Amino acid sequence: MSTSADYLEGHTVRRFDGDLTNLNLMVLEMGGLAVEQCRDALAALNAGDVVLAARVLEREDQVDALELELDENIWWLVGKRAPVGRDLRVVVAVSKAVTDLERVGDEAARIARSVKAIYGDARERRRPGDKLLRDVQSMGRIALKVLEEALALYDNFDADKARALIERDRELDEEFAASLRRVSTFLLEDARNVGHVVEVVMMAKALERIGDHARNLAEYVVYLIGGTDIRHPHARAQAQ
Amino acid sequence: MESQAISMKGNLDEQHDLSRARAAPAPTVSRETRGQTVGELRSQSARMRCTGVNVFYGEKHAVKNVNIDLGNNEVLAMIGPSGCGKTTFLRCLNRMNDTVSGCRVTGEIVMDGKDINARGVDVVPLRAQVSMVFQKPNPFPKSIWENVAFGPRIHGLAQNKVELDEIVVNSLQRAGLWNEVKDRLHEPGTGLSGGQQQRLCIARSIAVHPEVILMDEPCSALDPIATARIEELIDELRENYTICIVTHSMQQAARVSQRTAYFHLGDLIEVGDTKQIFTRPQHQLTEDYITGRFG
Repeated sequence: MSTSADYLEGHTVRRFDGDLTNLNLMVLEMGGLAVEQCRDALAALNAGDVVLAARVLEREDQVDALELELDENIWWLVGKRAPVGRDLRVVVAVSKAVTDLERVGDEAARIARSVKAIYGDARERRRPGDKLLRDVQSMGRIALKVLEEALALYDNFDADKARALIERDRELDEEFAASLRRVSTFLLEDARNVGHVVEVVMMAKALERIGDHARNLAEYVVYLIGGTDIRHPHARAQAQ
Repeated sequence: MESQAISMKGNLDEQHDLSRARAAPAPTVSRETRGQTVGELRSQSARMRCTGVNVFYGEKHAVKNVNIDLGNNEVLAMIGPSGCGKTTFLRCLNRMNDTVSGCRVTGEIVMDGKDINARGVDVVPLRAQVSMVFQKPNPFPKSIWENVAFGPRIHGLAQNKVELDEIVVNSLQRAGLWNEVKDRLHEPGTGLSGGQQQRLCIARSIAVHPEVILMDEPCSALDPIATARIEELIDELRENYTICIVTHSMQQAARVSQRTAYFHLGDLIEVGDTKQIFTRPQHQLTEDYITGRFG
């Protein structure tokens, strides 16, 4: 099995190897932080832990700071090395991945804010029932796994795994649609649920978006490896 | 898809080490292209059609069975490491290799329905029809006016001084040099800057009404500003001429050409749309070269 190193190295100018490897390592670092944010936001939801949710919000700036640093490195590499061929595809893929990872960080913060809204003043407010949270917890497990696998693609550059992962994003989309149908029934049962239902819907939407970002990350890997842009197949078919 | 892309077989020799290609972690397409040139070799509107072109320097087989078209109003860039045969091939296109002793060219290079290598073809009009700009600007030790007028005069393209003047002015204008030299046409061409000298050489080429202009690393001796002016000029000249340029600058090939051909050890490895060659080349050797992983 190949690794990203096989793909990034081999230049006559060894520093170019280092530049590309460094970019990819920074993506892995940023992705690791984004995954940690999601994991903690979901753990905060499961445990009703507002302290952990607050920590997620405090760390949001770290993900943004890595985005700024990576962008600067990307621009400098483009100016310095004028990459072409697969080097160009690596830089394009990394550049786009950075944007998605930053948004994953935003979605994790979105979930953390909902956790604070739900559990922030627990003594005064009703706590949501387990049934109401079940969907979002289940979606959370899927989203986290898909995101971790998407990030691992930047370690092994495996196009087959990337394509398989893209398929799995549909699972999350279906889960989100089903979840919306189910939570609406809670409103019909008891209108006092409305505050919690709104938060649950927003968290479900955030998780669905995390799945979309994971799919994007996988699509960039497919492009990076084979030069094939598999995004928006319908738009492409129409253009042709 | 791949079989469509491989439109014509070349002769990539067995000696070529494609082990790197097989070991590549994630090839963009199948690298099982041994014995084939990859890409679109033929053009819908071929100005010159080369078929099975070989060049030998004595025993050395310098260019091997090259098949390629030069399309009308297109810039074809030829890239590859030193000694790969790109300049040798370029020089076949107006029979400049005839002047090299021990050099033998086989195969067909057809222009206007005739093989330029056929017996009885006069190389003097051929070299006017297919003119050449060299790596180092080489103005004649004469005035700017004389440099441009020389070709039309010996080819009999002007009936009188007025017509010759017209050709000189027109050529200098097309070469983007007129405004800089119009007040000193009778000063020596060698007194111009390097970039101006190269544009003077281009004006000299244009003056004999060529159809194809060959350029052998025309900017390698120029600074970035002079290079930019030549590149701008190439873009303008494309409207009226077919241009084939040999360059060591990958960025230049990407900037000025519509199609790019990659040569390696005398073989034409890949030809394709320049955008495709520089973003997703099909052959591992092309990718290794353009990304600086070669050797």
